[in-house]
Amino acid sequence: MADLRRASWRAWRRGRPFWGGLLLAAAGLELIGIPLSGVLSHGAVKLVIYIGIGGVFGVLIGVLLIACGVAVWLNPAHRVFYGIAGVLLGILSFPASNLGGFFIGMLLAIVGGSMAFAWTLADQPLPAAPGQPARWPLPSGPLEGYEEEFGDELDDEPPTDEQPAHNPATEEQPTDERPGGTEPGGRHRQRMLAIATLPAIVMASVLGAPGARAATASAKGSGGSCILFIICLPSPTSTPSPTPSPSPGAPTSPQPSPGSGTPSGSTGHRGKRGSAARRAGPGDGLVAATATSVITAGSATLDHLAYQGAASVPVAGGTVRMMKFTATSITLAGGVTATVTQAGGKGGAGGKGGAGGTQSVTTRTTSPTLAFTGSVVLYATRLSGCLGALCVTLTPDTAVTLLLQLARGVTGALTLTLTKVTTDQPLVAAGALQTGALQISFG
Amino acid sequence: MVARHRTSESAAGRVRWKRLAVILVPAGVIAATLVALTAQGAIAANVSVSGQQFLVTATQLNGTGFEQFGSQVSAGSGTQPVIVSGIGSATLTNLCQAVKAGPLTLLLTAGGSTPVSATNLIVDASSLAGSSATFHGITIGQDAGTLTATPGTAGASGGFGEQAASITIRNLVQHTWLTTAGTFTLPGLHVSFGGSCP
Repeated sequence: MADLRRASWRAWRRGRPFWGGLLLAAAGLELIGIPLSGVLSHGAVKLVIYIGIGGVFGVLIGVLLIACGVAVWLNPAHRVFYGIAGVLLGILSFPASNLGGFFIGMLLAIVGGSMAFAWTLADQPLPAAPGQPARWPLPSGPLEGYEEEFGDELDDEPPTDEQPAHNPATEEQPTDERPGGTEPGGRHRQRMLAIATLPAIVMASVLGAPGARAATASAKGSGGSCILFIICLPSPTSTPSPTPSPSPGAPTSPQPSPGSGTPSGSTGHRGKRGSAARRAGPGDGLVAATATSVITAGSATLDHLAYQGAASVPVAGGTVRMMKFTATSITLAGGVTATVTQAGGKGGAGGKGGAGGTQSVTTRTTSPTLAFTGSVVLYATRLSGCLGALCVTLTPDTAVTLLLQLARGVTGALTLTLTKVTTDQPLVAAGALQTGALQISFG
Repeated sequence: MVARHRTSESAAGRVRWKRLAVILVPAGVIAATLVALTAQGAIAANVSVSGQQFLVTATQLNGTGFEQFGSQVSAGSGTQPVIVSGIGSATLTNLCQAVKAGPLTLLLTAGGSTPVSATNLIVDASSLAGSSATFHGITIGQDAGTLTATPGTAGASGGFGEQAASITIRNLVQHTWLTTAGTFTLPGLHVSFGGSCP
């Protein structure tokens, strides 16, 4: 029983361009795998949003290659077309999909498509034998053209008779192929068509995606319509099936980030809230982050510092009272560290990573120096530092009195240097920022 | 015709090598031409990779329309915090990208003499470092949901974000989870297996 099954499996395999189809399908899987492996292995559908239309196009090529591979198996009669289509898709994948899946998918597709194209039954009858219909209906002119060209190779194949497994009655035969074996004029026309078609395909493949469509369109002229059923309708039929979630989401709503899929629906309200906040804001359209953030530095050199009073700075869902400072330059030095803690699932404010839950994520940015220049504006809820031995902590409520104290000590000084500086909830706008060796990491 | 019993061997088809060459050779020539054109930077490639951590280095990155915010991507059962950087248009000098493809490490270098250029570059990195960075027109501490420097990319509302009109980072080293770009031109493209980025 097992032997029988193995034998029939082998017969099935040998009755079609098995390896060509397998390589085509493998190429498609490889091309899909690179952009979507994050999705497939992690279930992170949100990643697809980032991949965007270009990535979807790459995925489409992969899907079509798989379709070609399967079609070569199921319908070996049209292997020539699927083979050429596979080769073209493979070439197209180079600019369209991660350099052809980093060359691997491209090579698999080209070799697989070529093998499917070059496959013939070992006992293929000579096309020249009159009155003997081809058992495998040759789907397109090119094959016949090459048979002519490489007739010497084919001549050693003796014409043979029917084969039960491939009954011509059950094969879909394109109607325009029928006279091919008997009518010389028709064959000649097909050959001409083939000669005209191949360079067109080659040219089109160089010209990229629109060219590929042209190639399939021009190939349509030489083949039966059934050949092109899959190929001609790639975009409308194949796009939704391989990428059900990305394709509706990706092009229409590029906005959401991986973190924005929050249960509280903060994304939906953001636009409205943001625009409302901008109107009430400090006039420059800034909306401050609500995530906990602290900048610490060994020293801060403030040039032409001026306190502009307390300001209501818009944040997501309201406003926050902050101190507003201006300066011509602010230079932080001595192990500058910016720590941002974004809590997960903290109402609409944190809004990080939907399923991620409540764990908070701390991002640490370090640099030896941060030099802000060019009309620096600094907002902060709390600012502490030491001027010599005098250490103060400024908040919007105490800033004025304390600054007056400080000012007494530095009368006339245009440049103020504070040490042990800590700034809470900083919001800084500056013409330029120059950092030293920058390192951003988590934990 | 005489119906004849056949074994599966005699019914087998085969690949005709001359015919294989007829299509393989021109296809190879076209593919090689495409690779060459891409390596010259004449053709832009589309790159999107996800699902594995890989290393990206460049001696210099210049960009306009920069924004950055914290976010998370799903990785396995949990989530992985990432720094999302979006750059509207970027040039990278001496780009090197090391991707682990199974047991192999694929090393992709480009942009030696003519820098690599990319549009709508979005990188989700788990760490980012540079020997120095210069920003112009920068805002730090802005609500990540209101970032506008790279259209179409913004963080969660309330999150900590920053954006700048232009950016220069020297000796960039990034470990990234996801890279995608609208277009990538890769002059001086060189792909090899093994080794690592400098």
